[in-house]
Amino acid sequence: MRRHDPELAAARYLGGGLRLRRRRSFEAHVLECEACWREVDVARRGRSVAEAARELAPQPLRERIRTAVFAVPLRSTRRMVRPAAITVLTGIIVLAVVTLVFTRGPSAQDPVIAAAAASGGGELIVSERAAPELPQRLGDLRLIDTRSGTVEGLPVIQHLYRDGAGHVVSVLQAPTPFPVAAGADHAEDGRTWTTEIDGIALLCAERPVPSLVAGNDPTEVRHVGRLLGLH
Amino acid sequence: MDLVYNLARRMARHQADAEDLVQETYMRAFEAWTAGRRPRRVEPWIATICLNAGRSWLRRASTRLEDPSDEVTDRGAPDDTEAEAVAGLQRGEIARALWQLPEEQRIAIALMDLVGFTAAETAKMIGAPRGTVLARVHRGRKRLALILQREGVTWP
Repeated sequence: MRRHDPELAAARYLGGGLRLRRRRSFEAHVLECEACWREVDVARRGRSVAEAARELAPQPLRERIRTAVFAVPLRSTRRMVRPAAITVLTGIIVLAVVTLVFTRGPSAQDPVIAAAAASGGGELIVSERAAPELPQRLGDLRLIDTRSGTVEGLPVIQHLYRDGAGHVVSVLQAPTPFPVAAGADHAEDGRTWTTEIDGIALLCAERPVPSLVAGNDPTEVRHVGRLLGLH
Repeated sequence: MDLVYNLARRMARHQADAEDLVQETYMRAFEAWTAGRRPRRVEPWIATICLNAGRSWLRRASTRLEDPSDEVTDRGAPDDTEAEAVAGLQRGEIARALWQLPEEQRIAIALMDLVGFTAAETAKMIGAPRGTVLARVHRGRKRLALILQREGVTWP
């Protein structure tokens, strides 16, 4: 029999790594276990305190760094290349091209899909704060941030949601349909697809607006799709 | 830049040092980028550069005597409204409380709660098992809540 360790259980729960079934089971346990309830409560308070310390980098610092980076001379790439080196280099390039042609094929992901999966359902790189266009709550999930920007040239608006257990789900919306992920499972109507890339579940739909939902819990991603009426 | 700034603020005790650390991080990242070392994901990569640069700051900071009156403070802009000024004061209290945590807990909290990395990503960046990261963050959060409760600080 496993030893009951409220600290460990609460840490795992709040760490966001539990799957839906274990999470639900722990949530039911917390209602009856005073020790676990205290652990979760105090750590949650600590987390919201820590989050309140988040700051924006001051504008003068941004300008200072921009100036410093632009002041650095670009590294020169011009070198004396010997004939033998040219032969070796040509061989490597040919090998790389052949490898790309034979290994890329259908498994290569579109850059937008790769970026969404690589963000792990979290914040994407190029973005600015924007006004929310989706509900503040989606089931257990609460809206924590809304950003707009471009992902690999595609203009998007991103809504980030998080639940009490720390799971993050990202909803990307775009003016045009998202590319289809390689290896995606398509719905019968052909307008929605789902897939999983490096442990990140993706759900894409064209209606009511082109949307791409990403998160590390497939059940939660599907749930968000249903709540938003994506089809 | 907010990601690096928030991390640097938990690694360098003084505002000026934190800003220097942000600049050093960006210079190192730019140098690596122009040398062709381009990561698949930028955020964990640049955070790792900041962590490495920050470790030397922490080593340097530990070898000099700290003046408690010169600790990190949250400086409100002159045109702050009253509510913003109050929020700024609360942030200052929280920043001071964060500095009362052991370094490993403070860094883990900065990576997960301030910057938003997952436990798995944080574990990879600091080279510790995921369970250790979860324990550090959990203990740090508890300690932070208790410190502020003891000092009578309220937050939204």
